[in-house]
Amino acid sequence: MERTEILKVIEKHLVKSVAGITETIDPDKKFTDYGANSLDIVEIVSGAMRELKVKIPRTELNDIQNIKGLIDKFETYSKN
Amino acid sequence: MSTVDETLVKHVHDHYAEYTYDMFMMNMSPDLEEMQLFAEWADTLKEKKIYSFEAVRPSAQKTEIDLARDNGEPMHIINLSSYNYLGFSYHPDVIKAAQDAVGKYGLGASSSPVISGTYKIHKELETALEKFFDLPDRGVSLFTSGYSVNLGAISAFIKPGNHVVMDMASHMSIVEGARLSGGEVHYFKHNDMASLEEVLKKTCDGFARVLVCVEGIYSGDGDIGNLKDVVRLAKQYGAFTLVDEAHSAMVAGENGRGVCEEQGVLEDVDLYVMTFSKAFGGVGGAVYAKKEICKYINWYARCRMFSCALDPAVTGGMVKVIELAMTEIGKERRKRLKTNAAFFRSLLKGKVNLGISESWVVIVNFGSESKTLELNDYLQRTGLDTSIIQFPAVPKNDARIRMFITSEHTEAQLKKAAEIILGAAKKFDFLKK
Ligand SMILES: Cc1ncc(COP(=O)(O)O)c(C=O)c1O
Repeated sequence: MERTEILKVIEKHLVKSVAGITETIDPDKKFTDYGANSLDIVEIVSGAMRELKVKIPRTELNDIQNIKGLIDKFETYSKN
Repeated sequence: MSTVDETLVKHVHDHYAEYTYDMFMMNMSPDLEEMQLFAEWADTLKEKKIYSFEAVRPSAQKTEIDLARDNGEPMHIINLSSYNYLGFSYHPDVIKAAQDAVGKYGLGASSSPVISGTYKIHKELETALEKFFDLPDRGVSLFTSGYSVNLGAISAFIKPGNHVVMDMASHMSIVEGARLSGGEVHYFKHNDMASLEEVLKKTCDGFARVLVCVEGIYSGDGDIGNLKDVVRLAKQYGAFTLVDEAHSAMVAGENGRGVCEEQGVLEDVDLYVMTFSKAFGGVGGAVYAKKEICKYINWYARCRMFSCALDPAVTGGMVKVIELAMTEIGKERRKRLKTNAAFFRSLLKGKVNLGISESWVVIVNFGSESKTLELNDYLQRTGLDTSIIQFPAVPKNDARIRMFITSEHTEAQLKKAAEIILGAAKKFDFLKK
């Protein structure tokens, strides 16, 4: 799975959850930097999992630091 | 349920300590995976005897009580986990008033408040609240919980195309009320006026309605809202304000009218939200606002209109609580609460991380939610019950022990509680370095 494709899906769910994002998404930033709250983050991650049809193990979700970290996880687990 | 991968279930069982509550919020497949895994996790915690939540109380929520774990294990604890700030939930006059009301009106209200669920006792409660807050042209709209006040009032006030602007540390009920309204939801940095102004500049276009939501005392942080500046900025930009005084109504301010009274902005706030579950010692809630706003909320807050009215017993108890709160008893208890909170904080200050808390909601940060289970188990076993909060109620890796001080705690109880906290801090490595 291409990283750009993963980013596009995450971006779509981020924009859906948080009002007023117009800038392009910088993967080095955190979801909270874009104004997402804790419920938004849960929805963004689970929405992206459903759309990409990739399951990240629940215990692996804890150490994701930023958007890039989430892309890494998707990349890893789409190979399995 | 049979389709759930057994290796996942086994993983949860064998590695229960690596899991945290939030991990089961996600639904990843069409089967009921998260439910089965969560059930496995909770059952494992019970099996390992570290499940300290939902412990059953055999008596009123006094300051020192017995409780029993889910598996029957008995414990004796100092109670810093109930919101009963002034001890009114078990005041004999309040119990008597509730008994009288249930005797007169029966158990339930049996209807929506806008149809036939409004009893004389509800009107008495409205009048008592109006007297308590004592502003002209204001009324109240009663709800069956504080949570539903925010759901109902925000969604009646804000429609799609409008904006809700809220402090990042706002309670879940404000977040959910904002989402339910269909308006655009915006957050500003906690208690940060420059950040609020930035959002107001973007949203206040003179066309859409904007509601700024803040709290008197922030439930997750225990600090005090900068209401004076919030109100000033909101007025400057033409926005409305909602102040949730869940943890401060009846407590803060000379007359118990909350942080709004303390900061002199009671009259300027459009929606004053209170819950009866905290200092009021009961259950339910209300919004205090201009009469025409309340009238509208009464009819257009869907979770009020399509739901049964407050039960008569609690309503009767509330009337008595308000009466007591307006006497010397109320004044004296408010004073004692503040003294108790200051004393307890002084025992912990400099030794653990109290975050930004500065009230009777005392916060001790312990970091990662991975410690929560063992820590809460330890606290309860050593004789202290607290209200732990963690993600998603607060940011990730910022879990906290939250303690509610009441006017009724004794100095000895508070000393003992502080000792237990410091012991836990040593054991779980969150002593201030
Ligand atoms: C700030 C705030 N608002 C609302 C609520 C909900 O109140 P209730 O328990 O009455 O539903 C709470 C309670 O936890 C709270 O802390």
